[in-house]
Amino acid sequence: MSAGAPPPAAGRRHRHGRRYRTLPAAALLTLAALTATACGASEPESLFADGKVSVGAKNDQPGTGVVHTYKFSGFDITVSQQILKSVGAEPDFGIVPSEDRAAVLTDNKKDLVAATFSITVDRMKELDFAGPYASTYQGIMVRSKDHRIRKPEDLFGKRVCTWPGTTSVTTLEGPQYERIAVYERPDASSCIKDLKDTKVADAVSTDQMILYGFTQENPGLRVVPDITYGSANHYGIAMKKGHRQDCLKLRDALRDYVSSNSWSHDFSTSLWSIPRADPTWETDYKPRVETIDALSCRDRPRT
Amino acid sequence: MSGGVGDNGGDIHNNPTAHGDYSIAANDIKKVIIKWVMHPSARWLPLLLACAVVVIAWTGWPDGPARQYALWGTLAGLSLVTAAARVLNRRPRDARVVGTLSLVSVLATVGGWLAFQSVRTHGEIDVTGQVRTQGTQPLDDAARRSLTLLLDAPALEKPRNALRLTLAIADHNPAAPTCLPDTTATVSLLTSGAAAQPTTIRPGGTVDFTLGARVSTVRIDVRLHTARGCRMDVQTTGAVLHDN
Repeated sequence: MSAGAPPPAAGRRHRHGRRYRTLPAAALLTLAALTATACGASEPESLFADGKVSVGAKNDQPGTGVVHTYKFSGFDITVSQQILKSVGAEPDFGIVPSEDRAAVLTDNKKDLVAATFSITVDRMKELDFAGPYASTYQGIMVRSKDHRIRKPEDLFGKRVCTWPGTTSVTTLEGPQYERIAVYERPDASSCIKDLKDTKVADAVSTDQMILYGFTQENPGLRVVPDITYGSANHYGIAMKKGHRQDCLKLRDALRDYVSSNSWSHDFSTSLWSIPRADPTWETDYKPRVETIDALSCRDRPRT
Repeated sequence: MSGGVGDNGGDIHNNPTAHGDYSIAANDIKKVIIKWVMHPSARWLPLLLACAVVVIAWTGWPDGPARQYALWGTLAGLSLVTAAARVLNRRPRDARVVGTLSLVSVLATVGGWLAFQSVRTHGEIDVTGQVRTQGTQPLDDAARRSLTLLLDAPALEKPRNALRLTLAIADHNPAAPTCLPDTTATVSLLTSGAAAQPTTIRPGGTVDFTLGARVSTVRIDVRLHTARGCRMDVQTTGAVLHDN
């Protein structure tokens, strides 16, 4: 043993002292790691993490969501693409029927739904919405040559076709509309067939924005502009609750999109029949930024 | 040399009569208080007083939010605790301790009683359940947009000069598209002798009306402003009379 080397006992003491100092530090680190894990667990992994997001959309609504030769198009589709591009993700569209829009999200079959999905107080309890990206009243579509229906009372005793899972059905269930013979078919296509081909229906009722889309592919049909029902439908991009940070990113992207010229360009490209029929279409269909703030990513509307 | 300080002033500083009759009286009062405080029969007196005040307050308990009784509750608690401590201290060695306990208890009892009386006279009275609604609901933006809220004489029995009103406004059908972001209500007072004070509030908002002199009934007009086609329900979720 060299004279300069410390005695063994002193060496042990030194090592023990270092170990005692290290223990609290290790405990603190473990605590910090556990806290970080717990905090991370409250917000699951971002929906945009891998850059691909599954989006439920309609396939039978020309102008809003339709599939032609395996390709999705329409305003719902364009809005989804633009908003997701802003958050660095790309949509992977899949078909979702109206009545399954909430279920595909809660069952984790889709990440988002962009399918003319109206924001309601009941739905906000179950799902988060980024929206509205468009607002529209419920209206009436008739055969172009049928001039019997001009005002709301003209529909008394007439057969009006709707399809399940929509707010259109809910609105027409009100007591003030009990004189209208409302009936349901499984989907929009069946109602269009009833109106156009078999003439079982005198009119089809759903949101005017959707109806104008139908007229783009069905020249024999037209929207009655002066008949609207209920309050304005506000369409939002829906997601399962628990992804609030992702929702807020979508909301911010939507605010920018609505405030830019892109919204008007994309809307008039997808739904070209609306600017032709309605001179105030931007005022009527474009949402206000305050409404986006009031309805986006909340459990109930902000008042 | 004789006399001097020793003769005339040597015992001056120790003489209790040096400051006059007041000092003698103070000394006597102090002795009486100490005698009374130390007397076995005085042990229970502060507690009996505190309990009596609590019981009387409890039997005449007015309505209103609990927070306004915070001061009364604190003082009542203090009086009971100090009085109980006095009772438990059976063989006091220091008169100052029991004296302080008794004094704090009595002062807290008196202070609590004054606080309680102040709340009874000027405190808030919750009359939410007594607001009557006149008019048909749901309200809309067209023909049916107005509603009247009424407070009758029994609700206004205790005079207060202001009314704070909170209104909930909700979609008539929560399964239909929501109208809440586009909805407000203008609320005006229709009571004679008081200004209308029209105020526009959002759903869940609160308005404070000055009622002025004593009124026998209060009528409030609620006028809804909402988007086309919206049908809303209005409900009074809070009506509190208070003094400004």
